[in-house]
Amino acid sequence: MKARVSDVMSRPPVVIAADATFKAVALLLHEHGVGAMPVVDGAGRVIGVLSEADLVVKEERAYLESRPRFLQSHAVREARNKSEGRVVAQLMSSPAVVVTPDTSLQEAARIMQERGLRQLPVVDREGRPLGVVTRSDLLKVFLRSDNEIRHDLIQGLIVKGLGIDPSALTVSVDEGVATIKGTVEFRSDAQMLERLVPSQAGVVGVDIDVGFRVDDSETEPESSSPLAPPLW
Amino acid sequence: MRARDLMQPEVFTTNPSESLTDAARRMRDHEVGSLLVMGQHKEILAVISERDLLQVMADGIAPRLTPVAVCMTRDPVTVTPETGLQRMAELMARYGIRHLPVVEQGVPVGMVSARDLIWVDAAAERRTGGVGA
Repeated sequence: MKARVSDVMSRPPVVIAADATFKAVALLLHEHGVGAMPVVDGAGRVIGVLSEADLVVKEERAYLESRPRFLQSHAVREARNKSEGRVVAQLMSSPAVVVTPDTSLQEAARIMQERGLRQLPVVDREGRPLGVVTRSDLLKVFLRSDNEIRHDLIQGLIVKGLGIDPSALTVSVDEGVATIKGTVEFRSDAQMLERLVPSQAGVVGVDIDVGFRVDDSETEPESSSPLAPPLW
Repeated sequence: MRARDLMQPEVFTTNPSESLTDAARRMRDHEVGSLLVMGQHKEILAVISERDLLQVMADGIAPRLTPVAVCMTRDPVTVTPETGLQRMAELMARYGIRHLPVVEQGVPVGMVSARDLIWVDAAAERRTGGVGA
């Protein structure tokens, strides 16, 4: 079915305690090659995020302080306060902007862009970290090959999602355009295919010509349809 | 520390008519966060970054059908190999960018990313043993 954050996130997340020192976090970020880490409290809940951006504030401060005194402003005081924090809790961005595993990729992309973030912690209902989703993780859906899309259509949507015997259908994907032909048992299945295939990750166009043997529609079928699916 | 010492000396490029899917794939293959968009006469037209691609995704635009030209950032801020660390940090902070193409006599010779700057700083931190001073 439609790609969710849980499909692309990295897990388990590398997390850091709120009372860790600046040095410790710089080393951890470096060792793990990540741009940011969720910061957790004593109960293991995500309370903030510490990113490279929080560290680079030091550079910005050096620039600001190099300017004449009268040009120094609120910004320099902010930067000074931030980089003088001795422990993670004082450097991190808090509260954390988080998502859940079932957040759609498009929604996660929107949150990142609006907040200017490069990664989001993925948390469970109690706020405990399950993983981290980065910009690069989301962009993986840009990179889907036709074969991967076809596999997802057949295994994810047709077999698992709709419970249709895949041997009844011919599925091909060419440059993101999905072509599906064949005959299924019920009219409702044919309609679900037409409705859901366009919203599968990586699908940019559809050509669906699927017949049915049994017309199982008793009421107006459009009445229960979900809203027009987004591209992602 | 100057751009020459910090830059990644390889330059990865695209062109305005390439699809976003292909641009994204090239970023992944080379593990970089941005590409230089080059014009017909090998001039630097723009930069396209992961952030630009993500905006396309947030807007629900189909990347395979969309050329780089749609979301690239034109006339990027560039530096020379002699530009200093502090100046680069200042440019990144002022323009809210994470990548600076390094250009020598009109020819791109490397790229400096925010990450390159941060680790210089962290290394200095470790050497001096100072914490946030």
